[in-house]
Amino acid sequence: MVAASSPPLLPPWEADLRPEQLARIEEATEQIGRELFARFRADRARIWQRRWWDDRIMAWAMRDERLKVELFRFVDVLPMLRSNEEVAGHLLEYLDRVPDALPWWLRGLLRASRNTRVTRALLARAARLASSDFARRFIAGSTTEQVLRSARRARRQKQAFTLDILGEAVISEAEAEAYFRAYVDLIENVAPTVNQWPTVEQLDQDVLGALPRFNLSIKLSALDCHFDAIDPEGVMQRAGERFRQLLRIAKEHQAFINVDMESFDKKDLTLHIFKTILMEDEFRETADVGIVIQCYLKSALHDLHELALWARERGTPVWVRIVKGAYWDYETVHARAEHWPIPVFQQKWQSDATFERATRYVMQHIEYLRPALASHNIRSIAHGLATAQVLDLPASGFEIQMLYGMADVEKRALAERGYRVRVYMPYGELIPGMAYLVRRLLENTSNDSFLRAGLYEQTPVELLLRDPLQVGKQDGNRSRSRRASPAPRG
Amino acid sequence: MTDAPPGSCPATFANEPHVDFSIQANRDAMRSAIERVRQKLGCHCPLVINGNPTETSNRIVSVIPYDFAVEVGTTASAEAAHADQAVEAARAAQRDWSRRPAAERAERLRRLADLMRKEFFELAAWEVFESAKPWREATADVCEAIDFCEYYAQEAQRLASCHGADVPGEENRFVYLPRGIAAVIAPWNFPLAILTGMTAAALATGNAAIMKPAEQSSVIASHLMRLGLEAGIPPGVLHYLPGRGEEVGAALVEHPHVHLIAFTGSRDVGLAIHARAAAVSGRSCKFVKKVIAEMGGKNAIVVDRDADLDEAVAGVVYSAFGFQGQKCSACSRVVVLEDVYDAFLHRLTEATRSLPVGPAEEPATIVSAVIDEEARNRILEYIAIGREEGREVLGVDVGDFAKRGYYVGPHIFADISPEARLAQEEIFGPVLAVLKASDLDEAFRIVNGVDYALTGGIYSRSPAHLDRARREIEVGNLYLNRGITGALVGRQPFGGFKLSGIGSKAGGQDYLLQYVLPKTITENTMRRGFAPPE
Ligand SMILES: Cc1cc2nc3c(=O)[nH]c(=O)nc-3n(C[C@H](O)[C@H](O)[C@H](O)COP(=O)(O)OP(=O)(O)OC[C@H]3O[C@@H](n4cnc5c(N)ncnc54)[C@H](O)[C@@H]3O)c2cc1C
Repeated sequence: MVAASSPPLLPPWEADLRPEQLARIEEATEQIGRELFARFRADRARIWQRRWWDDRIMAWAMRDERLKVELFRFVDVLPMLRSNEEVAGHLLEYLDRVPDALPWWLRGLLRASRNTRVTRALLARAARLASSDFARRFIAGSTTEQVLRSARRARRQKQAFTLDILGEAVISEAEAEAYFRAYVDLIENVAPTVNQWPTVEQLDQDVLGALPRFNLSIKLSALDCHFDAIDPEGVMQRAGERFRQLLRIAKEHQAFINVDMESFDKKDLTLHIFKTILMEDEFRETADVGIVIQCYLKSALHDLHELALWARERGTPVWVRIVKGAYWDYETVHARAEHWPIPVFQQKWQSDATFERATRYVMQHIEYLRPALASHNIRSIAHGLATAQVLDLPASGFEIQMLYGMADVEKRALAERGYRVRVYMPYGELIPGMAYLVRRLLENTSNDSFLRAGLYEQTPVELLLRDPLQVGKQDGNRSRSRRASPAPRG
Repeated sequence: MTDAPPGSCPATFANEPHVDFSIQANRDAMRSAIERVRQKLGCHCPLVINGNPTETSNRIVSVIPYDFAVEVGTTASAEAAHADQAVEAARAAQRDWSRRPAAERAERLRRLADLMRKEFFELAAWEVFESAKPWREATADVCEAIDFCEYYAQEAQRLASCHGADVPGEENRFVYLPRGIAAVIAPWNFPLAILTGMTAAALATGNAAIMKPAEQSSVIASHLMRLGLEAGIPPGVLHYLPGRGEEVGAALVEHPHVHLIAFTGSRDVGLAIHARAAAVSGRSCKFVKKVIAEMGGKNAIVVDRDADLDEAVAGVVYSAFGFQGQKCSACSRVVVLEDVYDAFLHRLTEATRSLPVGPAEEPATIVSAVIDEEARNRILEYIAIGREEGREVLGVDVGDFAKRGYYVGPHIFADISPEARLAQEEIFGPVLAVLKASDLDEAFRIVNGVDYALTGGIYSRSPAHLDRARREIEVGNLYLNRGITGALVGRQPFGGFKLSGIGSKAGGQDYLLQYVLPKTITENTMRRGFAPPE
């Protein structure tokens, strides 16, 4: 597999940068982080801005974990409710379960509104407004026209985009076909328009040449209603064939395709399909593709190394979006309920440190893997910028990716400094969008979230910018011990 | 009264982990076990009485349901005389077994569980062939068998611990005696788990067990017999009598020295056993025979207007068509609120149409063949009835598969009325009736308006509706916002009432009490006015 002439490609756990490089990175991280923070905290939301209200509501929801659960459950069901009566009914039912978590004035208000039709209708309206407001914050539109408007706006602010179609879980072949068609239509109908838009040097060029403007993030599981790792050959036939077609259409329209990563049980299969198809003669030279490595996974560095070996053999690099991962709660709960080994780290600093290690590794090997750092965590981003600086990697050689509706201040600050910031823009109908929305709400309000600590809780900058490995050393002694699980069968 | 007390109750029993087939090593292990077992097809299993292999003049032939030209194997076919022999041997051995410490019996069962772990994938592979169980179903059944051994071992030790109510001068003890000899009459649909469960319960509590497995799954049962002996269960307290129910089953039920009949199967047979056991009690035998019967179900899932349809469709599809609908817990009715009826029905139909049909040994398969010809014919009759009683929205054609195996494709009938036969009778196959309800009252009336009360469920996101479901749906196992099959030992003790069963709970804390006779022992410890210190 390894060509005789090429130097050995050591795995990240065996070879890191030199100690003095690491020291310089740490120093630069600290400095860049402080600068970003200054911007971040200076730009606090004002009361007349929608964001201020969002922030208040979220801060309020976070005061009590049980209240948060009930509110998010309510947000989740809301689009399915038809009448005001039903909306008000559900809201009261949910809040009734946590009466002691509500402030006295709200309890009073709810008691008052419970009784009459008019007040219930008002309550329902207020609830709908608040939640569609949240939906609009995180979901870039419900139609293609709307999302294009968002995309255009982003480009005017020197930010690139990647589109994501929100859809229902794919549980039938007809739905898989429909999802596939939606991807195809999107590329065929929208890419030509986008390609007409004026060039933005900062976004459309990188060290190797032109970059596609139209960028689509897809989920392989949307292409097959039985995307089940029990049968890799069958999935390869069904989802794989559709993936090939998408790659062809994308090439025809100079579009970029990124394969998103989903839950752990789909990870190996997703990597397998990605690697198999992109090694085929027809696609071996396709450069406008990317995949995701989730750094909360204990297997992240191993998978990254395998990917680098594969890319080296392939001869054409692929983009790697480095993330922490969006399914932490699910993975933890699911594995514990099944008595399976938990695939994700249980300490936040481990995910952070792995993210940084992965960043360095990819930046060390840009001839095989091209870095896309996806995070809202200023420390994680600053560390990436610092590494690029120390390795002399130009700003166009990598990109920073952030989600629509999150960390807008950071996005602007980075874009102004000349970095390529790409905004992940999900769009679609509200009902299928709920799973995504609830994940974002959870992320913004989770105990371990950077945004929560940075935004709502005003944690001191020094703490937020700490090297995760140091955090690990300090917290190591008082780490929560978790029940060990038995080894996997086989 | 049915309100669950608030607060949390963490699980205390750790179930055998299910196989994670996203791990390649597990897929490879399953595949190679299937190939190994394929080499062993065509085996022959004699009866085992008192540890001795015993041949009979008749034989039972077991074939692969999805490929009926191929024999899984043959077994001997026991007759009444063999039942006598087994009971005779069991009487001699059971006394000694019952006097061993509970810990020792528990230890044998744990050894049995370990042996099953060693042969895990092969046991599952036998199920793939003999029962047409797809991979996940087959391996889950072996996990459950292991769970039963471990759980009843643990529970039997708990029963054997000290229970009493002493006062100064008086010692009061409750002890649990085994009943004696248990006839275990098991079904083919969970061929290892249910047989193991009823047998382990009997053995753990000090009884002898005579196993009468279903004709369709007697080869798998022979492996339990073999492993039982290997685990150190004395030959006299465990016997293997495959045979025809009417013959050896009936003989065991009536036998004057069989104290207990543990039965899982159809309602007709269950009620007949119950009647027969009552009829002979006090006549040919000088005790009241105990019958434990788990029978059928006509289980329903309600889909509320605010349900998460992604989840509801997936849960209903799996509950209705997993293992071809041949589970007593399977969903055979779905009651959908008017507002979401059309949307739900459409997605349900498309999702079901997409289920992979094929040989159980193919990893992708979700729907394989039903157990035998008789089952297929019965299901086809119900499909014909369904066409008269409702609107056939889906009838999957299995094509050429039907030439080689007992396949029946998934069928869905919409607009079925609550009184229709399709909504009342247990079909035990991949046939689902869809009923419309205008509100929750009507939905619950429909759900409860059958002879059975085994499993049931609801998909709803209204806390108030879920609370009503908790109180109003009459079933032994109620599931909120999830599928209604796949109960786990210790976590979801399983069993129903009405004509679904006598109300016992396999894999639950109360289960073993049915296998024992409680005895109270009171001793006056006072002698001439002085008593031992407390
Ligand atoms: C553009 C973009 C695309 C993305 N695409 C994907 C994708 O395809 N697949 C995917 O899974 N994710 C994806 N994500 C990541 C995900 O959705 C979250 O945005 C991300 O995990 C949040 O990390 P952070 O660095 O912004 O925030 P931080 O607050 O620094 O990190 C939060 C993350 O840390 C991890 N974490 C939380 N608690 C613990 C703990 N106790 N122990 C260990 N780890 C913990 C979790 O992953 C959590 O999300 C994407 C993110 C972006 C910005």
